[in-house]
Amino acid sequence: MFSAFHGSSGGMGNSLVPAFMAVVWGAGSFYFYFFLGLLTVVFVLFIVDSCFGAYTRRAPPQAWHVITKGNKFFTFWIWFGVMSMFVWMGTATALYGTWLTYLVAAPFRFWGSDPGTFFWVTYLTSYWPLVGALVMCFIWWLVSYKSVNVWARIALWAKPAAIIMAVILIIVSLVYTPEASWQGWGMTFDLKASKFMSGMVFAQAMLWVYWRSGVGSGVSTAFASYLPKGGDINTACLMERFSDVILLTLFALFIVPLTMGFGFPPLFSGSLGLAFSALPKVWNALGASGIGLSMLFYALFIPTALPMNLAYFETNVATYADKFGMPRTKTVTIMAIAAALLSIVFTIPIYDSLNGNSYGFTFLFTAWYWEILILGLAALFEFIVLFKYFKIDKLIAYANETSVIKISPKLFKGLCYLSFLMVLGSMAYLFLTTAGIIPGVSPGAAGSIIADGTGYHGFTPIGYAMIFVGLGLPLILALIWTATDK
Amino acid sequence: MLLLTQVAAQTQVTIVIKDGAVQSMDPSQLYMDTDYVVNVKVVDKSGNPVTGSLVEFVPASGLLTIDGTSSAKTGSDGTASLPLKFTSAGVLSLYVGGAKAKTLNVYYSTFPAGAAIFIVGTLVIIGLALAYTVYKGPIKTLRK
Repeated sequence: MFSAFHGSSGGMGNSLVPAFMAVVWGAGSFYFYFFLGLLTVVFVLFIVDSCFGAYTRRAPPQAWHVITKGNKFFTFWIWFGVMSMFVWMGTATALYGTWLTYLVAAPFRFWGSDPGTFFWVTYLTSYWPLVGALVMCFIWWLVSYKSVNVWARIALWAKPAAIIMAVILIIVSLVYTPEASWQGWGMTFDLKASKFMSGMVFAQAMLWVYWRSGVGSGVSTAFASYLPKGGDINTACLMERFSDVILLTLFALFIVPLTMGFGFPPLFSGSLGLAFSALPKVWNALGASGIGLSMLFYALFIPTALPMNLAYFETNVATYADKFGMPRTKTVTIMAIAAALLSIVFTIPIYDSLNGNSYGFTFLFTAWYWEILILGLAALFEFIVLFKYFKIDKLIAYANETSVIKISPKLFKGLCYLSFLMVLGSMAYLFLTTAGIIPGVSPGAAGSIIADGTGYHGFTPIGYAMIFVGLGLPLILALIWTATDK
Repeated sequence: MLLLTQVAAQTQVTIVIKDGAVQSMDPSQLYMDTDYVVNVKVVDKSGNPVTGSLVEFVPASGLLTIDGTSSAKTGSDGTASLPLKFTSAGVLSLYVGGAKAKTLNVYYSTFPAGAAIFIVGTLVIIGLALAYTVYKGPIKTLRK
């Protein structure tokens, strides 16, 4: 279960980017709400997810179908969450194929003397991202084909490995950029009372809570459905939640200082610009030691992102195997082929001059935006399913029964209600802000749905294509699968 | 590599913008809680002063706040003078004629206590919670 929780809350971008989001949105106040969400909303939903899986022995949609006694409205929402992560598989192969390519090619410094132009123009408009994506699909298939247990045992060590690598990078940043370290830490973690009162800081932090943890996509449900009787859900969840907060703090302690220390403003809102454009300039500047450091950095994706990739892949495998009653090996192969086909969309090698990258990567960013919104809504409905159907008392009694660490039912109930209010509040704030209803906050400040949801192409054929891939495809699949559920 | 050594507080800052890009900046770093007069000189490709160009400092990070004049138009000598003070560290965008000319860092003069409390507090409290969980869970189970 620890591997499943880590898999659900892994990733490179969502390990690195919160530090930059904190600089933009309110530093320590952003992190306060971000960590609060990770320790309340995510903790509660991981327990809920796991109990749903362990109790029903079904993949997420089928588990919700059983728990809600066939209620199609609620089952639709988990189908929607899982199907958004089905589309995500294509984005993940595209992105992590690039991480793999950079890891392998780092010793040769294949990005040359102008890494920015190389990445955004040369690399993204070539077929290398597709090659990397297909290699990732093959790795997923290879690891998942036989059994998920082998991978779960390896992934158990992923979080400690990532923490050790982050500590090494903090030491490196202190050695190379000592003055920038404390300046960067200040800009990332400084506390200002006025920022605690900002609804936008809270809402942005919560968006990263959903994106970081993948709540609403049912990963823990899928893995818990495999648990033997006696699985220690509580302890695994507590250990993973605490180590995740430590990992995120450590990542923030090295990435902003490294960025500032080498002359880049700490404002990279996307992990791609940082990882593949800005940092290669740093590796170049460091000479020979930059090669080792770059390999260490790009290798971080193995303990942080690969478990996540396989966790979401497994969720889709479990879901489709349950839906169609197919054997595991066959489902794994079909899912790997589906991921490969999806990756073609997210690696389209045509230059998008509006966004300064390829159309494939504009599709990727846009799909992520829709996924965050879908996951937030799915999380909201998961609470309602808990309150209305499963009941909190029954759930925590079930989790405590087989866990070494028992959680107070009163405490858990309080956390459930607090978490529900936090999710409801953040989603309501974002939608009201986007609609321009919150006084003093412009709709654009929230990241307007029209702008972000169309890849900044607006209501044009390309913009509609973005909406179709990010929102339409999971919606259509979710509607079809919900309608055909028996 | 930037050297972030604190320089003596200076009130006069000169930034030269040539053809939309920063050509020079003296001193090269800005600090919070310092009274500045920032003189931004805007010249075209040939080095001729540009008159009536809007020069703006816009906070690009959440904590940064500006007290004083954050925008002004250039005069006949192509220079706009902005008396201002940054009340917090962070990131700042310099816009000239509506286009971003540069992104600048505004540095702390001393390490902020709030950040120290947050970092140490998080690592200690969550670290202890993790250690307790590991002890109560896997370690006790293994001992049994």
